[in-house]
Amino acid sequence: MGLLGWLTGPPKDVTSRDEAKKRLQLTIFHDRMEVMELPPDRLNALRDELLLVIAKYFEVDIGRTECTLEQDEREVAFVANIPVKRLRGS
Amino acid sequence: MPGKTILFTSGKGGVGKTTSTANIGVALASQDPNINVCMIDMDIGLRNLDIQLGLENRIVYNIVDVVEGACKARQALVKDKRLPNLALLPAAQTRDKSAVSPEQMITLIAELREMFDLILIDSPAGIEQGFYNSVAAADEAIIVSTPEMSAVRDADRVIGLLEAQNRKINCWLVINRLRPAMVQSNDMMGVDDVVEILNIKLLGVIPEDERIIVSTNKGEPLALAKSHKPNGAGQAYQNIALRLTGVEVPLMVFGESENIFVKQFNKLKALIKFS
Ligand SMILES: Nc1ncnc2c1ncn2[C@@H]1O[C@H](COP(=O)(O)OP(=O)(O)O)[C@@H](O)[C@H]1O
Ligand SMILES: [Mg+2]
Repeated sequence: MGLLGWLTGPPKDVTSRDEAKKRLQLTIFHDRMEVMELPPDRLNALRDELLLVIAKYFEVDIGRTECTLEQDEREVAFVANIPVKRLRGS
Repeated sequence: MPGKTILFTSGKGGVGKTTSTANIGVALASQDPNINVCMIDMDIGLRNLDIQLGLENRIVYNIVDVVEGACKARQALVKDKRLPNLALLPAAQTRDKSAVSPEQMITLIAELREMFDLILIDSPAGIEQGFYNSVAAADEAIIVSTPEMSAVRDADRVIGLLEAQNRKINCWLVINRLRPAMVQSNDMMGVDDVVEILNIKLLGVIPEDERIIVSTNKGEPLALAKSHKPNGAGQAYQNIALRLTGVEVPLMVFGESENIFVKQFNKLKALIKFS
């Protein structure tokens, strides 16, 4: 147990109910992705293409770019967080 | 007004579609003699709704005979002697799901809508043709799931397929075979967990109940009983039937751990109205 673990005490027992819920949430999330035919490598390809377009208009901080699929209600949203340094001159 | 069509589906088999269709159908017909209810068994090749209802000895024609023109819809309907406003359109036992097409279902149900106020469709397991035949003319869908991982996962898949239809089909969740004691001890997912994951409107919760087996043995759906044990499955079916007709019925409280959720749900009960 690390220092943090020592401070917070032993981990609480994870119940099988919690475990089922967590595993199920993750599985269903992946199922929904698969149905949308968007496996992770496709997501990366999408990010790269998107950055190319954005970079035409802005100077972007590529290192801090984050693209994820997030779940909202029953919908999956594509969320891109692309820090912009400045507008490119036209 | 033409009748409304309600689909019972789940993806996974054995979660209680047929039991729910039989009991909710019986409950609806018993609550109001002026509501004419028709149940259609779409599990062609593996019919079971007939024995759940105790009508297995009275079948002459079946749905395949009707769509093939061998008889009129009226001739294939089996009337329930206990409830004159309840009828069953049985599945064929010696054919398979491809014996009926979605187009034929649309035509058939258009005809039945003129004869009945409510048409309940018991869909087969799976997401193949039998599922699409069942979906073809549905206005509302009741998704039946147990609080188990595989059932909930399949339910999610089916909800996705229903949402992808061109027509808007409202999805409602019925959680079946809940075991309050196991939820209490955190050995089973609770109503709140399943609702959070599937994110559709909750129509009702049916507890695990041994009397289901006894009533099926006798061919008398539990919901048909004169009186119901509080918090038993029979009462749960009656409550669901009431909600379907627009009556506000609070959710049963099975145990402490469900309490907060039940209170929240009961505040939202006005949502459950689709007649
Ligand atoms: N609430 C319940 N309590 C106990 N047993 C149940 C309950 N609901 C369904 N069952 C049992 O589960 C089995 C499968 O039910 P069924 O309605 O045939 O499922 P499906 O039509 O989805 O395949 C049946 O043996 C039935 O008696
Ligand atoms: Mg069945």
